[in-house]
Amino acid sequence: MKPIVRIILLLGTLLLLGITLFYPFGPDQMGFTLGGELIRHGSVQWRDFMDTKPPLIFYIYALGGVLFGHHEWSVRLLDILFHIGSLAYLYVVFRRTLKSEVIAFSSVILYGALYALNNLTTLAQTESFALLPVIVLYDMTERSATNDHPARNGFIAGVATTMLLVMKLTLAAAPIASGIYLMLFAPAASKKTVLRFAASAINGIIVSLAIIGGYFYAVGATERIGQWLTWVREYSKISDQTVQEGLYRIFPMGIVVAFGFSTLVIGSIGGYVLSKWRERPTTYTHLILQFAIGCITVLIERKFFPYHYLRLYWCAMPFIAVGIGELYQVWKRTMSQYSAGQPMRWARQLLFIAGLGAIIFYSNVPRILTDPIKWMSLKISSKDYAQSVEDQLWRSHYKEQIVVADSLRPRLNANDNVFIWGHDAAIYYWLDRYQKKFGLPNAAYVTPWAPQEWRMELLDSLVHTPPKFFIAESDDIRTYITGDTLDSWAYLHRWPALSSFVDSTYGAPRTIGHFHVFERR
Amino acid sequence: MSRTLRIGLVSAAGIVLLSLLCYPFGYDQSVFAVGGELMRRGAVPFRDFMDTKPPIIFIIYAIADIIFGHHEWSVRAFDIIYHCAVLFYLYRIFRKRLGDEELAFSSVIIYVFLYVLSGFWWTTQAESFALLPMLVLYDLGERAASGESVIRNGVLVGILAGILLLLKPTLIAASGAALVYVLFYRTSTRRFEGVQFAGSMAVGFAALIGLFALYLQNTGASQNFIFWTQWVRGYSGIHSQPLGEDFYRSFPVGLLASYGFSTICIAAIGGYLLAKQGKARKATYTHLVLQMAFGLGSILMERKFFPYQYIRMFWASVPFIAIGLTNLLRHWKQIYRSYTGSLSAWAKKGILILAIGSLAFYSLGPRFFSQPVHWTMLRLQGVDVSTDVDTHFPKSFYNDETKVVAALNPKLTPTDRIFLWGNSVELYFLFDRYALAFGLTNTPLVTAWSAPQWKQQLLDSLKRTPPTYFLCEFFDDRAYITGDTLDSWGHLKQWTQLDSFVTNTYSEEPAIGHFRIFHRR
Repeated sequence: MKPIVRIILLLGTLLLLGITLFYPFGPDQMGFTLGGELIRHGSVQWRDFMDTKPPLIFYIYALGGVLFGHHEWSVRLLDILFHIGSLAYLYVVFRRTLKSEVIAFSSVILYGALYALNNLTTLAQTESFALLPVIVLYDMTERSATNDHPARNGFIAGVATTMLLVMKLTLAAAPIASGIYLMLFAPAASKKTVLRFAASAINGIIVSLAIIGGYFYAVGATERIGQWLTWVREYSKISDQTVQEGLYRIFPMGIVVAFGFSTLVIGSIGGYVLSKWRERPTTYTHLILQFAIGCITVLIERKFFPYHYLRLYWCAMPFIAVGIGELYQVWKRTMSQYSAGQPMRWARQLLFIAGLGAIIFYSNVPRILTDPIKWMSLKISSKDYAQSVEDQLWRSHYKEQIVVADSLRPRLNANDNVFIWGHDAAIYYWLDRYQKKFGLPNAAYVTPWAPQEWRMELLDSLVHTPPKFFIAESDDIRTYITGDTLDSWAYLHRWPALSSFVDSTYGAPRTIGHFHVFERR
Repeated sequence: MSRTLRIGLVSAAGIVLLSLLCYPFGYDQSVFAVGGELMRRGAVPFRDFMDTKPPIIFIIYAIADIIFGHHEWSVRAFDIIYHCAVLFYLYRIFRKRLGDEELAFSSVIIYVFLYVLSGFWWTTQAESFALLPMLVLYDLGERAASGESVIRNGVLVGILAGILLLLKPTLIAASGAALVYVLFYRTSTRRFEGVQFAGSMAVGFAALIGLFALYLQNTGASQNFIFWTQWVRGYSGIHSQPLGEDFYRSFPVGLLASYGFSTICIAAIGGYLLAKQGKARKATYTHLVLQMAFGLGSILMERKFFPYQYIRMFWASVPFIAIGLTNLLRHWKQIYRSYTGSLSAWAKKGILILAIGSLAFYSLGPRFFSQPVHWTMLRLQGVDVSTDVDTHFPKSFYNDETKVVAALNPKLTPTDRIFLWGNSVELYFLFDRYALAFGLTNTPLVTAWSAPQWKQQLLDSLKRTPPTYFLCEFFDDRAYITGDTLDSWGHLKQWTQLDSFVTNTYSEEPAIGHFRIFHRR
């Protein structure tokens, strides 16, 4: 690859990643930001708030706030820097393991570009930040496969596994792929090496879990972990479709959305080409195993949101890179067979351009217009980007939340607080005021399988110190979490204790969009 | 390929093809069948009934009923015989053009599986019967491209273009592919041959269309035909989403549904292997690629993206699938045999089997159970399939139709007639009684752009000889045709003249399922 091409590709990818700074919050990013802010204000997950995700993502978001301040772009900037760092590391690792600098470079460029071409809800997710621990795990396994410090590497791999576990439970399946690879497919790894690696990995998991567990025990948050696990288990059972439907129809559609149609086709050509290489490094088997285990975890989750597939990106990129390289070579060879000026050459070139156009169109490239460029131009031109968020996202009340926050801000004293009973809790963020207890979306309290104890604690907290404004949302149904079609307004009326507390403590509500704002009498 | 394997594959394909006999009608098949029955009774398309499709498909259904009688399976039997003959022709052409007997054989076998596994709703469509004219067109295009009887072949291609147009307007794109191929990719180097071919194509096309115009004139259908072209243009303008969304998302989703995810990947590998051959590759593959490209273009133009629409490309794509599949099988066999002895080798075998399993799962393979096996079992058990059909598609009321027929049939004398104001025209077929004026779906009469003359024609006919029963369907909205969300009952209420005719002439009986029953006073 020529240096100029490399520079252009690198700059292009950096530019694409840089544009994600302009992305507004999606619902998940908002939830994580609130969790991060709560942590910065002294709250602790499981003790003070609940979410479907384990705690690490909230600490990452808190770090974004600490480093760059209270902005929507803070976590986007952290995401960009994280990816630049992680992808540089991935490049180093791939260069060593794939034994091809060009494939390593192309893989990293492809990752950066594909990642940045996702929409605002898909980036800065747990799967995004899982990249680093998963590369560490891969790197340590590959090193141990050559009998290089298996004990030390195993321990680090164990710590990486814990990181994945406290990021998202299903991500912790990645070590299964590493384990299978080391045991069955690493020819140089002796039995002793494998055993030492496995023992040290378990050791690493135990030590790191003990440290994390010790912290949560010290802050009094461990009591509810059992309840939380039960709650998450029930949440995991919620699915829009039957198992067969999910497996056969929704899963491949999700993968097409995440990778782009032609990217997958090129990846399969790359896989075929690689399978023909006689001197193929064994690490490709490791990558296939990681991909397969990743797919299985997505299938187990059965939600099939496009961001779930981000976990597959890193191990799929070398195949896509090989596919692209091979197709390019084929094209060059074919064209060299026709002399310049020959009508057949022109006709073939035309066909090639049409084919290339179709490949680009059915990759993720056109999304450059619908996401990176769209948000950048909206923000730069100071247009109503909030309305665009609502238009783009299903059931989003993004703009309304800003309107509610703007209307309440002048009426709040320094010590006044608000409480949001709804799925969209960004009003906390826009007001920069947080409810120390249960200041996240209400999903954890409205599901039929939520422990009674959580509800009572919320009610006690509200009764003890009633916030100045109680804001209830309507039309915020989230069937994929709650399993029913009720909105928060309906949930409020189905919970007589909370409903009567609101009636007795607050005046008649004022409605702004989908938000019913109750002011304390 | 061994003789035993061939016999096995042909037998399997034959059995699968035979299972078409057990497929029930979908919505489209029932419309075509009733149209065919109307034609058998002297009705003329455009003059006496309207549909989104031109007349040839109704003629085919009429022929099937003439040959096999009034059964649901008649047109399926016709379809089987048609495909047996046409696929034999395909085999011969491919053997000649691709110069590879095994490839021609595999292509035919793959076609059968792809076609039958599409399912009951997507088979026996206009696209299914377009196979023969498309193949002849391809063959003649190939002959012309090699300089053989350019003018004669051009005229014939033009006639075939006309036939395709009368089967479904967008199918004419196949002739565009042949023209481009002959103009730009022909192997013959004689000058002006391309122009000669284009000119004679135009002559052939004009001749056929002229004959058709004459037929319309003689049957008194020409005025309604003009209205019909305007109505179809209005129907073609109905889209459920924006252009970008359609092109970028709906189109590949339809492609996935019709081919299966792994079939597309295998075809891509086949395409890659062919592309690698460079100039040594036979020119006819370019013709096939053009046919696919034009086919895809015509689907994009239609913007409905029903999976059956992609059937028009099956024949051109099967050689690519066959090449990909045979190469993969050969490669897998080689790899499988190379893994011997160690635990690692067994593990590699396991991964290979898993990979093959996933490819099989994400092809159309699993539909073998949900379509051919499913319907055959139901038929063999003598189960009423109507309920099952309704579970496959929304707004299908087959079961209700059988109930209506069971309830009303005993009350009807041989001369009594019925009229359905709705979409489930299978009712006519089940009653074996037809309304000669506008005895198909009511969609041509309920759109905002329907010709007022048609409405008057129907009203006059109903007033002249009011049918014994007037049945009005509800919850049968077809937004993709009518562009609104009204059901037939809503449309009846909107059309005051028809509504008052029904009120004045009929008394309502208890509804059955989704049908309101009106009995003549």
